[in-house]
Amino acid sequence: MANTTSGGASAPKPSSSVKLVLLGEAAVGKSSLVLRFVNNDFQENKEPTIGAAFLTQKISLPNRIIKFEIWDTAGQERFASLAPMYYRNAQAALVVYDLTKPTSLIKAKHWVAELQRQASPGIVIALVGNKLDLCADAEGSGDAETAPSEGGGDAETGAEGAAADVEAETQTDTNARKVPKREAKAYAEEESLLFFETSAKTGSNVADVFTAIANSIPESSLKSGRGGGAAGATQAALSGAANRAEEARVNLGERGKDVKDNCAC
Amino acid sequence: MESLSDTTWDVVIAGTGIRQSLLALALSRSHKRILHVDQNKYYGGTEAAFSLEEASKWFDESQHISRCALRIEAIALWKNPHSEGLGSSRSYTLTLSPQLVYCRSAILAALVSSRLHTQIEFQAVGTWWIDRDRPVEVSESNKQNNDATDSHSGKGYAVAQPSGMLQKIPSTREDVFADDTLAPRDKRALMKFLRTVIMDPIPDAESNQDNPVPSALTTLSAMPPLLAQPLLALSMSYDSPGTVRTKSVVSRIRRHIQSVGMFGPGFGAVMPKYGGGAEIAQVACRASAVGGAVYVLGRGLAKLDEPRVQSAEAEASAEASAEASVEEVVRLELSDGEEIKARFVVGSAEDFPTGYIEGAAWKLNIDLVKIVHSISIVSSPLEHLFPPTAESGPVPAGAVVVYDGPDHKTTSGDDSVSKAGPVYMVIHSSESGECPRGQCVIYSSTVSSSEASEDENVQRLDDAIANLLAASPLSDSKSEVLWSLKYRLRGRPIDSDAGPVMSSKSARVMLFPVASVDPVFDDSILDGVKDIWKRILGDEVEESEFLKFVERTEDDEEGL
Repeated sequence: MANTTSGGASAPKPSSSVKLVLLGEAAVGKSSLVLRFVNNDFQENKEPTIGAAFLTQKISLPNRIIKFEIWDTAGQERFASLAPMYYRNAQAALVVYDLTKPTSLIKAKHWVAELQRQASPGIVIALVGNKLDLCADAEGSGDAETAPSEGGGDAETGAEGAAADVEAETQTDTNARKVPKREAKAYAEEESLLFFETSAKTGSNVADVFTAIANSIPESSLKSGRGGGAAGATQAALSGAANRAEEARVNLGERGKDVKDNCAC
Repeated sequence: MESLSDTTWDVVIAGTGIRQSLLALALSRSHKRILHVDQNKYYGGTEAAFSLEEASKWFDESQHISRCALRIEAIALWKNPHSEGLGSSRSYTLTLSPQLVYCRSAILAALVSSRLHTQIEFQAVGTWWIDRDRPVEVSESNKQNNDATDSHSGKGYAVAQPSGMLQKIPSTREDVFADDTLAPRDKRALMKFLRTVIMDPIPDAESNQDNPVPSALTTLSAMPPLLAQPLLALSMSYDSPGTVRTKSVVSRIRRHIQSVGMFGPGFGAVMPKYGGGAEIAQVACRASAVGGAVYVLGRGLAKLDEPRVQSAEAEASAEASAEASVEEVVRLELSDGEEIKARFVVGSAEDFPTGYIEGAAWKLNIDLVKIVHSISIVSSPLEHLFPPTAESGPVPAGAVVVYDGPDHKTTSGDDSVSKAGPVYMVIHSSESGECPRGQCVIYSSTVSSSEASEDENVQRLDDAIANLLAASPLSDSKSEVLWSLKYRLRGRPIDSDAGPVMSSKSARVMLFPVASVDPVFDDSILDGVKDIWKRILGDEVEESEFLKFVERTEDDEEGL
């Protein structure tokens, strides 16, 4: 959690935006993961997401700030027509399944296949098994939390930290886990996905997922712009007051207010 | 849950083009039950953006679908057989909607007030160039054929002598000062023009309204035609100099000049990253989905049955008056056969069943003009076209090159003005997210002149690009067209009256006004959207609330 800061803007590090989309079956906890990451909060019995919601959160890496623009989609979308709109141009995707529900992993695999077929080439995909708190082996997450390295950015680290507990999985009677970690992890490795087991409820591993994603975004897709330093200036900003170093975009905000005032409508 | 027919929809929006998407956005906080469908399996309709594979699929399909022909028709798809330079299909986002957005455009204000601007990345469109004054006459006889580029199934790219010059079109006083190719007298004339054009109201604009531009501009500022010509290019108007009307062109030039510096030094226009208008449309649809609208791709309107309007028929059918007439719903059949009900149905002409449009006797084909377009992927980044907008300004991702030749130096010795309009080439660098690094995409367009054959009109686009590539300082075999798609767009002439929203007798079915062919985002689009929005919501809203939203909070998501 220490990695996540909302006051990152004051730091003089370069900042990049990363569009991230959440996909997965209904009720696996997509919105809860985001809520935990963005507000460090959890709601029992959260209402299903309608359509999709847009949230942002900054994360501070040793050498740069990543601003996640998170598109949380509705898992129970009826006509499979929304998702393409969300994963278009996304640089990262979080495909979520429920550790206690094997069918949700099957759905997750469908999403991974669709992303690999349709999304931007080079998209970073993380497979996330959520509801670790319902698993008797949840203490595994305790190890995982301390595991991810600072800048090295190998997301697997976190997962491996918990790997030692794999054996414990099948032993406990009270264990609601239905998807063995081994199975999901093997699949993730096969498809070159980042892999984590999380609990949005306890917060376990949640920040690590986002940090790992941030570290895995290729430098080249962060630095938009030809000439290194000058690159930051590409995106002309529609909110004039914005820190130019922060983003290359044209910032409509500040100045935009004037526009609105002038506008006859 | 899977059935759309269980709900009586407040609004069914057909098509996901920019108009429909902006309407969906405008209605996104209205708590109306909205169904947004598209006959295509992709978003954007005639403003879509495609990967290479999707583009070629679109090309194939548009050969067969007559409905599309109302607005857009594919002409040719070409892939350079001699080059391996193309990247993977999905590394391209090629847009049918490359419109520039001027900083003063009402759409930017609307995107800000609706809180959408943070979700769209805008990039600067930097320099306007004019490609002209070639000493070498490019006529049929001395077109040079170059093996590297001439492979276009008989319609080879004519490569002119690389002797032409790209000149930056001065649009600010600083530009004029800095331009050392200008004689002092010309500088004075330009300065005077720049001063005059931003004055409001423009002196004599009214009285000169119907004069062709060169003389009007000359009157206005004693400008020699040679200087006036590049300024005409700032208007982004397709007319040839002989046919341009003063009022429109002067106000368009003024828009350009007044926009410069508004959001940053040295540029006056922006473009949304990842496909221009296509991106705006999708972002608007997302906002609408967040508000609870249901999205269904791949299903269009197959049939419409409007409520009967106070005719003898209505009273004749007793059961109709019992329920349906109270509700006044439109009965729709979707292309998969599902029948649904809606209080309002909105779309563009191409989203309605052909028979319906014809049956309604709506006049759609008033004064439509045709513009030929090409989307060309070029194997080099053409970096020289994208100088920084200013010392501390952003690196532009877009540039505009205006090509006037060769028809301007016409055969007859007299001073007859060329009939061909300019070719506009809007070049997007790889910063736009539309192509891989090291390449660029050229969106070119020109009016489809009735006095030339279609082939000749299309050839002008190829000539323009060939000239541009030949004039590149890095000109070598590396600068070549790798892939191109050509299509024809029909619409209202630029700055013509958009006309009213058309609605059926029952006022339940509404059509957006015919879109214009403007290469610049046409603000009148918002007027049409607003009109329909108002008709749907009636007294529930104040006009001033159009597209004005507060930031969504967590709580908003629930209970919608």
